[in-house]
Amino acid sequence: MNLFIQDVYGDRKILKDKIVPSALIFSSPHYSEEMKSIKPQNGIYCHISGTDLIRHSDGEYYVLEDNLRSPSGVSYVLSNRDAMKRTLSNAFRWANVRSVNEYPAELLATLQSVAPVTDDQPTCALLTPGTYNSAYYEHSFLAQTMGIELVEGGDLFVENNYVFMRTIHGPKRVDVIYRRIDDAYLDPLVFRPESMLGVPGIMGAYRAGNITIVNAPGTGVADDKAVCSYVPAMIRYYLGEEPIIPNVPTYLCEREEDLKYVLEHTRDLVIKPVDMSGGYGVLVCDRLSSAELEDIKLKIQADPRNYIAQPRMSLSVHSTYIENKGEFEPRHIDLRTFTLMGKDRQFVLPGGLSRVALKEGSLIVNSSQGGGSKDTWVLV
Amino acid sequence: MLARIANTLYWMGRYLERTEHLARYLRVQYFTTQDAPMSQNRDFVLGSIVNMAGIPWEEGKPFVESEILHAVALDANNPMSILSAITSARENARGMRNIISTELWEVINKYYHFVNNYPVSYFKTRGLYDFTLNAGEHCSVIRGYVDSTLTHNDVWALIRLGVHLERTTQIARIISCKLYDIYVLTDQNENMSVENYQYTVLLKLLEGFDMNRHHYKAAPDRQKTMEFLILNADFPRSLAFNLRQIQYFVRKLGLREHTPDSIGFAVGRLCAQYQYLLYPEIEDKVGEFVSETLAKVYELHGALDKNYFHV
Repeated sequence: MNLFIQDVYGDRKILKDKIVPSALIFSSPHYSEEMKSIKPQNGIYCHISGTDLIRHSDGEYYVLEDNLRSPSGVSYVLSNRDAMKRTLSNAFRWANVRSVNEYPAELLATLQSVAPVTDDQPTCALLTPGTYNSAYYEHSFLAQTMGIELVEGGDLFVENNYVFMRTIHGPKRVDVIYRRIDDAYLDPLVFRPESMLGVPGIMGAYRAGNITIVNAPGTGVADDKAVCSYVPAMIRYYLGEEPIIPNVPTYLCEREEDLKYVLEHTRDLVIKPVDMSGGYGVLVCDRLSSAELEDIKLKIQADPRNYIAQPRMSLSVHSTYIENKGEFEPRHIDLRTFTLMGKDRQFVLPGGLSRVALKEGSLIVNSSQGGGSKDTWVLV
Repeated sequence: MLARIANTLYWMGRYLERTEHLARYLRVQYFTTQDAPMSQNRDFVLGSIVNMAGIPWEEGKPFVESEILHAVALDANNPMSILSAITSARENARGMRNIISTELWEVINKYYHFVNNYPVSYFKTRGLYDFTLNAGEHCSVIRGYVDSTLTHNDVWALIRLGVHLERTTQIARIISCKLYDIYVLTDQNENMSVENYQYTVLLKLLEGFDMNRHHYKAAPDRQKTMEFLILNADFPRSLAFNLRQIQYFVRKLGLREHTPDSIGFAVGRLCAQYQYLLYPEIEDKVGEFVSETLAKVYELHGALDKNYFHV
């Protein structure tokens, strides 16, 4: 994915060779014109990726989507494991479970490896929108376990293209920012002028190479759900390899023949807006009324670029304790994995976040839609 | 140390300390005076509570006990209540969980849930003693965790700075309130034993009765009480003790500049005044002296706020 993003903001070979249609890229709301003129430290754009995997009724694993804009959930992986160790300590005695505890240290080392100066102790900080953000627990958890400052936009300022924190002993320079706010709010001087969450001038410091922003702005262009369907083609193009795990087959409503198929078979499909996350806007069409079905067809026809469709994958189920019934029942799950990439270092978390749709029969596992999560073991 | 976080730590210390004094004032004032030798017992006690807790109460409106107790302890709409203060303290802690210990966060959270879940009707009828005693214990536990689970660095120093600055203001307020009570009583021609009983109450309000007796080996009177609570440098709920603590933590934070407009200078000057002061020098203007100290402490807060927390 990093090679692809590098290419999109660089030579655009994959577009020139017409492997991925240019129109798809330049119409993505996450494409950043600003990034054309910026080369991130060590050419790394997506330091942190979260890839969602599912298992279908054919027994095969599929990639559901890649998340390259601040994927969340890793704090739950660590907290779930702690809770499991306390409650099911016997199970850990007979199973040889790989530890997930090294994640914060790996993340910190990743952040430090991409710092702009070759100082042996670069200052890293985690930028949060604040305590009212739904992922604040995770922001605070990660800052705590990495031992770095948790900052809000107002704590930072830019002077002479360097970024500083406001401390009681005066300004302190920051080298790496792990930001958990969206591109659009990052710098009111460049993106949304009304943003109160960002830091005016930070993009100037970034352009001057004085700060590393993790993940880089503009990575969202590669996790647009329509672009995701080209990932197998990207793997063949850049690496000359076959993908190990296939993608869920995806129909791009923008392509004429796909649109035709989608409109004819709407009821058998799952429709997703390309640029939304957290399970928002996802429609499982066999659960819709005829009126709702007609409504979504009209919306797709009005803005085909904005929608993709996938066959209804029957996500595998896992035995899940249902609190109000006091018993275990099957519920659908998927698995979010976490991958880090720094300068000369890579890390795949030997574990992950099994996300579970707590509502009976539901296929939507996102926590923002009432989903839960489970500790997940990788055995030695 | 981020300026915003410094401010949050400092206020967390202040809010926590505030709840303890409010709870103790409620309990001691309410229970120790139930069998006290004085007229208009009930209204006198409630008036004193209203005065100390700073509850807005209409002039001449009759005091309603359950309403006043509720306003001080559990009224979410009263920004001066114990519930409001612990809610703020917990919000502050939540905003910086990454720099305090998990253990400290958990005891703060526990205290918040204790207050927030306390049944209001039980509190109004029978729970006052239990509630206020528990609140004090929670505060002690939290201070214990502050001292024993945090590295003694800037984070710790800022919480402790908040604690001691708040404690100084609360001690000053409690002394002032009690002096006012005594003034009212003398005005009503109550006898000497009634006045002296109020000094016992004042010492108990600051949990200093036993130590005072131990120190002077005599029953408390005006001089023994005031000297002890204002000038005794070793008693942790005296003004002198807490001013020295403020000075210690200001130094610890490295805010020790020597220009006359610096905070280090202002604290040092105040401590020096206290260090070489004898009680007879303030004997005939104790109330005024305590008020002056309170004003100076508020100035210190203003200087901290302006020069360090909002840079």
